[in-house]
Amino acid sequence: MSDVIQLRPEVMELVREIAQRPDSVLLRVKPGTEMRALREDRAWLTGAESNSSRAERHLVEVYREEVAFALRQVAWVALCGDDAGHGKLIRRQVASSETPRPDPRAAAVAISRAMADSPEGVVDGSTRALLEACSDPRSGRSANVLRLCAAAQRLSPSFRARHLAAAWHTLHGREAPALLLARHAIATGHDAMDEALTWTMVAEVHSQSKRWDRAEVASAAAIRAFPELLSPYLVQAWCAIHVADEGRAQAALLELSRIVGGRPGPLVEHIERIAGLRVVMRESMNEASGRVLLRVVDGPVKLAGELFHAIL
Amino acid sequence: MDEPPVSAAKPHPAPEEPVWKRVLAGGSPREILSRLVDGDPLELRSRCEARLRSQAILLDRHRLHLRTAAHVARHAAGYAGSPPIDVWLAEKIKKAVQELVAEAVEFAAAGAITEPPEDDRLAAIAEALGMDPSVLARGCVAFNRSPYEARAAFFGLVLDGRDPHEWCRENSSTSERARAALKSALWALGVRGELDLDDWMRGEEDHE
Repeated sequence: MSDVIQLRPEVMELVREIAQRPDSVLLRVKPGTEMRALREDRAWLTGAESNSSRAERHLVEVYREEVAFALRQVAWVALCGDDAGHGKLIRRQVASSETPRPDPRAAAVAISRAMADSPEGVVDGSTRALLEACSDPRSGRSANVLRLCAAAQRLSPSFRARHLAAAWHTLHGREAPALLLARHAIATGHDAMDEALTWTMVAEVHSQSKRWDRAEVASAAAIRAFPELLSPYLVQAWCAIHVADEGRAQAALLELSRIVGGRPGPLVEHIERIAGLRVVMRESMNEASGRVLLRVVDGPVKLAGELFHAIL
Repeated sequence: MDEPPVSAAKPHPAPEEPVWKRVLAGGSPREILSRLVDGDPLELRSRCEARLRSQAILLDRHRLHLRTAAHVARHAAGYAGSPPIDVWLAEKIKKAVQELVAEAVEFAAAGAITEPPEDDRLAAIAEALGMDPSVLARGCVAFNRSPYEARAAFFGLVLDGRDPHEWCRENSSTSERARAALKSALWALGVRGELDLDDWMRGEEDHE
């Protein structure tokens, strides 16, 4: 792989095509003098700092990320044990696998290691106090998810901490901060799954607030990003029931049924969640949506009965 | 020539100590880091290069080398030869790539001001595509989140300058697919489409 790149004519043709867009940044700098000036800027930057001092900065980053990881682990444990009244976390997001149950002991080990190994200056006083509180079994208090995520973000900003904090807000019915964090989480997700999980969260927040149109749009975005994700189909079906669109509700459940192979097994957590929220869900319905729900449950998708029997 | 008597035979030389033992044994992470960076005895630079190529990722090679060295130094005390050194180092490189890709995403999302890349290859990409080098970092973020097929097409057809027909044959692709993949990669590198959640959702509602 050479450091001088010659574009083939067929590649150049594509570059020119894209460069014609007004929001493109391709072919905006002319080769020659203009580019040389920019490269000279770069040359001025290099060599200003020795390799070993740069490497040491990377070592500090490695320590910071380790501490941030430990804090996120504890936040994940706390979040999974959180009984907030707005549902519970779903660990089985796709039919074929589920996120492992959080291991409090592994989180405690990560915290202890982070405290023992981090050199002076890697974490500030308040973070060290938080680490000490997390590692003290006598405190008897569950860790504060938001405080843990905020401390992790200060050390090493990440999609994961943002997502955990947004999930906490969603579980506690705090719409505005959940959506604000979700917006940033979508921009910083690593892959399509991250993006889809965040859109699902957005859909759930809107669904909690009975904004069915927005919930529908967000769940559609989640499905587009990662079609195998289970939750968005349920949100779609629930939204369609509320706007008395039986056809769309059936279509969403049919697709969900196809993904799980018609078996309720992968949806056990969802069924439990609906059962836990049955009072709220029942209260959110009017006469028309109630009738649609009954027709959907009696309809051709057998899973519908298993999913929604708790709210009938 | 007569064989020398057995008693005069030279003893077998002791098996040479693996390089990693010498480099990773003893000292603080900072000291080990210094040994790793000075002369690159574990050939981390070329291993990083190979990883970027196999995954078709655009990152500053120099930063990846240093971050990998930092990971190796940090965990050197716990390494006693298992898994094999090549596998162990590959794990560290993988972690370093993940971290740097994630950091670049965060940096771009925060709207941070980026400096021109120090890596000659990234500078060459900017030059070939006529991009201001300081906006390339943002393009690389989008590129690294693109599907592998798009990234691989860019590596093969742009960085390596491969003949498209040959490349398609070797990668079991068609010229249409390769073109679409390459276009997607160039789009990621060179088009600034910013996502605004509210605007986007308003737009979707307008379509209904």
